[in-house]
Amino acid sequence: MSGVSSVRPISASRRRRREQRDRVADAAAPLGPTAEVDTLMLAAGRGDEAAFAGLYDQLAPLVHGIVLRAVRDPARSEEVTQEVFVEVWRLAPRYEAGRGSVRSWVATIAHRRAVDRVRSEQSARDRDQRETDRRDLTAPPPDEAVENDLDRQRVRRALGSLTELQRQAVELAYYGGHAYREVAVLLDVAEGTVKTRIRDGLIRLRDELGEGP
Amino acid sequence: MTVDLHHLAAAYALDALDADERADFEAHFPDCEICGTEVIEYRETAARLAVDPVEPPGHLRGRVLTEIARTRQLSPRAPVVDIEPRRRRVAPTGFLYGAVAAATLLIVGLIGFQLGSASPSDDQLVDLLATSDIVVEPLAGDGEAAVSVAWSAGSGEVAVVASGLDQLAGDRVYALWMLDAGGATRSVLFRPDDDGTVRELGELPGRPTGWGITVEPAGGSPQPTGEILFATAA
Ligand SMILES: [Zn+2]
Repeated sequence: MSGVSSVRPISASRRRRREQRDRVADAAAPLGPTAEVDTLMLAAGRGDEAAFAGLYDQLAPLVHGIVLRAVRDPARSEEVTQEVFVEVWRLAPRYEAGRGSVRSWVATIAHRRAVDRVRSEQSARDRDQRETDRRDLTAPPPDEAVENDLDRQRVRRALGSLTELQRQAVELAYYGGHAYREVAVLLDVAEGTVKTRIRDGLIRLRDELGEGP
Repeated sequence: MTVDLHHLAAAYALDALDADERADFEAHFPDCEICGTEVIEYRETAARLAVDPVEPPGHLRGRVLTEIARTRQLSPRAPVVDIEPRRRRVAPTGFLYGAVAAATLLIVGLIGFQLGSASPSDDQLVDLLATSDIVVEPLAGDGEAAVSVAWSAGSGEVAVVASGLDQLAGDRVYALWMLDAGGATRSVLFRPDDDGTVRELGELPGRPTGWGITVEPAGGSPQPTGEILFATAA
């Protein structure tokens, strides 16, 4: 539980390296960062390990951020992040661009794996002792440290535009990794209400956020 | 129920459904134009919520790249197959007929309702079970769990499918071992779902003469350290 404080946001040197790499990529081909991820994904899907390493460099902070948020424990998060990337590698030949961006495809795999890990550990625990879930009731808000990130500001604004119940339901589900039945218990509202709020909340977010970065 | 299913895309995209609902919805949305589109859109939106990038420890990169170098990729998506031909193709090899038939039914039962599912591992399982050289073998063990292994030398893949399997503590994992003249080779690591079911795929590490399952520390061990819980019948 204390693990979150020991991790650091994406470093400036890392960002500089990435910008350099992007410039190199831009010089080689007229591709933006997104196109680069797409290109790397395509090559990785044909078994290109170097391209996959590039993909790792681009997406590891995204994946690890998602995993750490749900799993909390740094050591276990590392394991899950590794599992996610091995899974991405295995499935890479099946990535279909028409079914969503590389970023969301990888984020989907990461979130699902992290949440499943948390739940399987939870149910193993619950069998021994009916310990109530001690994960925080309110998911921590996005870290202030990288507040200069425009996209993050946009996401915070979009979350702020939801009703209180919509926002809590979406945050507990996505950031907290809770199933909607748990969310219902945590917020003390009917399950049907949670489902509706999650849905209304996501529709609102989709409209506010538009196309991905 | 159908009416209800149409409203689950958002909760699904946030991984907020329980295992049963997730399975029901995965059986539904690939064939539902509305839900299929919604899932893609909501996943994009959900991914936008991931605004806390955290650099993983530097040593993880090397571990991941080492691991993928020895991990076989799946074949590009195979055409959708009908479940009937597959059932016929599973050729029981005589003496274990009843058990093999039961194992096949278990596998078909566990994945049958998810045909067409967008869940990658289930698609892959369906592909594997449709291969012409599929071999399905039930493993023997104590307790109520039903465990089977299915593999295809042609596709180079193995699946472990189980129901009623005990949950493990978070720092433990089940390991499937391929047995041959050279000993035991590690195959798939897996944990059961909430309901005790397993549908897990991996690379076939060689030509098996048998299979065994142990419990190992999370992350797996190079050689089996735990007691053999399920194994090929002698
Ligand atoms: Zn539908």
